[in-house]
Amino acid sequence: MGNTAHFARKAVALLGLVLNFLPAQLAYAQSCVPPDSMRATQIDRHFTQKKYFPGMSAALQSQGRITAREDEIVWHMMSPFDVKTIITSQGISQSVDNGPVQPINTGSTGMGVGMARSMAAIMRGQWNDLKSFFDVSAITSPQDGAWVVTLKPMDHRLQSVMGTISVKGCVDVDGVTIERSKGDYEIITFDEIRSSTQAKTP
Amino acid sequence: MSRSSLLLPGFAVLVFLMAGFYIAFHIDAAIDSDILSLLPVDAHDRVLADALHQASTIASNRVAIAIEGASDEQRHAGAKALSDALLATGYFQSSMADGEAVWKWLFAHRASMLCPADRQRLEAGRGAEIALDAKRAWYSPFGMGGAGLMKSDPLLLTNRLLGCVLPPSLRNGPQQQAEIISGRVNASVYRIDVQDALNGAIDQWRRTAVAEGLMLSRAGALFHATYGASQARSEMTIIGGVTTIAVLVFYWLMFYSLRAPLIAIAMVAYCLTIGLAMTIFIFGHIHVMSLVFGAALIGMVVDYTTYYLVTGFEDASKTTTQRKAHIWKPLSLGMLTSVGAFAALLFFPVPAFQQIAILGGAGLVAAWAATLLLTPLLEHKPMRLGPGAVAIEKVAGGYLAQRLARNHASILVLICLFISGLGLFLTRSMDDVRKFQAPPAELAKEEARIMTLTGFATSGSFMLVRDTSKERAAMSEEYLLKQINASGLMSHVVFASSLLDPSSWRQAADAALITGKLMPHIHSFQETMGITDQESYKGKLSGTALPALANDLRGETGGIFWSIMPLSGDASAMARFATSNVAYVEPASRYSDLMRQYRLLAIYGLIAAVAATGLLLVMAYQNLGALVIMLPMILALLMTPALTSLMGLPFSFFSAMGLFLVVGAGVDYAIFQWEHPRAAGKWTRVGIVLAALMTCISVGLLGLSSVLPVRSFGVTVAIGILLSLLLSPLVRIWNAEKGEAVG
Repeated sequence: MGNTAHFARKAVALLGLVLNFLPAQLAYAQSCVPPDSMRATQIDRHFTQKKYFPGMSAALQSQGRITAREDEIVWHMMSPFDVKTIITSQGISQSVDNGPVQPINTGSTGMGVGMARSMAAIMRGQWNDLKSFFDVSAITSPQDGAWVVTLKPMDHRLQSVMGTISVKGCVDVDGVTIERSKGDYEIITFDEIRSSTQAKTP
Repeated sequence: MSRSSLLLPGFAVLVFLMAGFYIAFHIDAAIDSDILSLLPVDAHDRVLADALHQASTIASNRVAIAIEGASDEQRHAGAKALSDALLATGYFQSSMADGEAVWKWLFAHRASMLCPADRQRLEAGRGAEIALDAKRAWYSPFGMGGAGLMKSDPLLLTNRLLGCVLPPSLRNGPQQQAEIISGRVNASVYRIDVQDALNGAIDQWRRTAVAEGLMLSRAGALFHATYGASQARSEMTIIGGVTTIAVLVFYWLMFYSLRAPLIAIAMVAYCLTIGLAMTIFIFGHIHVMSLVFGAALIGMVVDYTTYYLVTGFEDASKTTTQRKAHIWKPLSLGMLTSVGAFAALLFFPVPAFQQIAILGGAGLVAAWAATLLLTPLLEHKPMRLGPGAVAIEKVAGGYLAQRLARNHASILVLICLFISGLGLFLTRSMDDVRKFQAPPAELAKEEARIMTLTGFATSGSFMLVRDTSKERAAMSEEYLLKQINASGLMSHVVFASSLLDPSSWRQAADAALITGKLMPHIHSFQETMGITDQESYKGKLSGTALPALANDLRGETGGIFWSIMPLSGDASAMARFATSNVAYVEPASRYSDLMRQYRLLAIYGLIAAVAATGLLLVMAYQNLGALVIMLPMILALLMTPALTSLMGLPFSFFSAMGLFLVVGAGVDYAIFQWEHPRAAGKWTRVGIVLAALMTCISVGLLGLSSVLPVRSFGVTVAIGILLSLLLSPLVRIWNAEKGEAVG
């Protein structure tokens, strides 16, 4: 009996342990949205961007806020400069130091405009749109459901300028790493997540 | 038949075979469909002529395609697939490549060029603003510069230049509701093989894309040229086909034998092959409208064979030599006058007409030689009299054989002169090149759609700057740009080569400004950014080629350096900047003006051609009375413009070109009438009726052409030839003695 009681106690303890952890595990696994199902409609976050260039003593670090509504994404770099970039279906415009909003001359920043549009699509999880210009592949962690989507420009000219983009996320995009040739890379992280996310209807 | 008598025919066959092989190896890339080849070249101002040609080449090589409909993803994918397909043809170069070449050029010149706004900044001592802009850009989330650029161009001067010098066509950002594929064709869009390759790629893409709901709009001369060439092909097929059938039917009816039409077709093939080979050999290419004319030439070259074959009707006992002798003089004279008329076309600087001159001239010489050398061999024995010949003799023979009383003839001449005089009031001239060929409605609609999507429309007009050196021309252009800018008309300037490659004077001044007013700010900039490299803007890069975008706008003609500045929209206000070395050029008006000048010149040329024909006849007959041979042709020349006007066709330069052929070919009938009057010419007259009929059918079919120049040309020749035939009995009024003597 003693053995039986001991076994029963152990079984109950184990069950308790399992029952104690299982909801948390289940909850964690369920909280990550597969990248194909992610669709961020409203975004409001802070971002920190660090650009690393070989030969430079320190990274170029900027901070700001990114907000997105249905048809508009606003990247507002607040530090070290105040530059607000507004991306809509009508085009891209910019306001410096809270000055007048002016359309961006795409001739000087053609690649930058492409990058801005790509970033807008990344933040919204519009992977299908990005597939026209990038080879898109995704890896999902079996442990926690977190994912990494890798984007490689199909055009060799774009590849040499844009590099390879890795997007990390779970519910939303948590960070973006861009690796370019000759050792250049940049990391963008997002915090204070206050975005309304909904899974796409299968 | 002796070996020596086969020597010349053998040589003629050898020439034919060589010509055939030559065409087979060259025809693919030799067909040109440029409508400008139908327009005269400005022979007075070679610089303007070269500039017009260059402006046309630049404009014609541009292609823009818009893809709309379906989803964003499908549009992106569709655009990529079409772009790849066009690139795979090897004839298409995307605007992306132009952008890359411009970047390389600007990077190489970043320390010696400035945007106008930056020039003003530096002159005002506000260089710090440029350094601050660069800092913002480096920190920007979307800044694309890497370590390499940070080292070589930390102030991002290349980016700044790119923003101010690029034309709108390269500055277009990604479209939301449409994908735009733009670029240029790196071979002539008027080459049929180029058109086939590019349109083939588009058609292939369409087969799958339309099913997905994608819609395509096209803009560019490539598509207009394709339409024109396709029209020309169908016209050629109709004219060639109908004329060939007419040859088969008429010749069979005339000679009651299949041999006759086969000989005629063999002669046509012979003449066209040699004429075509000569044309391609001399010009390197042939305009599609010259080919259409080639189809019409069938009716003219077959005449000579007819003249020989009908000699068999007269006396079956005549030997080949006797029969050849019978037609030798009129055939040779007729050939010489016709070739002379074709040769006259060479004096007019219209490429397509110069080609027609060679094609027609060489074709007729070949027809003359083949008639005398090969037709007798192919004929083997004289042809039989067919029902057609009998019918023609009965219906037309009597009319042509008649000898009008002098008073009747005088009345006829007066009536003809009255009609001609009436024609002076009826005839209206037309020189406006814009009315030559209406663009297809579908293409016009697609082009309008692309203009709406891109907001960009070229006008075809341009400013032409010329000077005695490249440097002076660049400086003149810079001064002109300054004036245009001050007048608020800069939005009309599509591009200027000096924006990308300024004068040395301007570059030196900008370099001094950059060194003196901007470089002092670079040290603090580099300190803030943590850069230690101080050599960013030292030294000058060399070996970078000036991008085609600017290079194509420049040229040199006879020691004069010139550049063209394409304009957009209604740029007529630019005319105010015209000086001794600057001109506002509106090509359509310019060509129309040239058309008017050449139309008048052609009329003087016609008078000269008539005089030359008269001289030839007097020399051939050693008799001033032979000048009467020209009377039917002269009356036909005078009446034709009046009759074409009644048909609604205005008198243009091309009508005048047609009259040259009336001079050459129209006189042939009168020569035969003069040579073989009355009974002696019974079957000759049947021959000339058949010849005129064939010429009128083949050339007259050009009247069906959708291109006004070709239509005018065809109808004029057909009416002129018919009148020449109908009036040919007039030659007999003043040579009754000769006629009776021969008869």
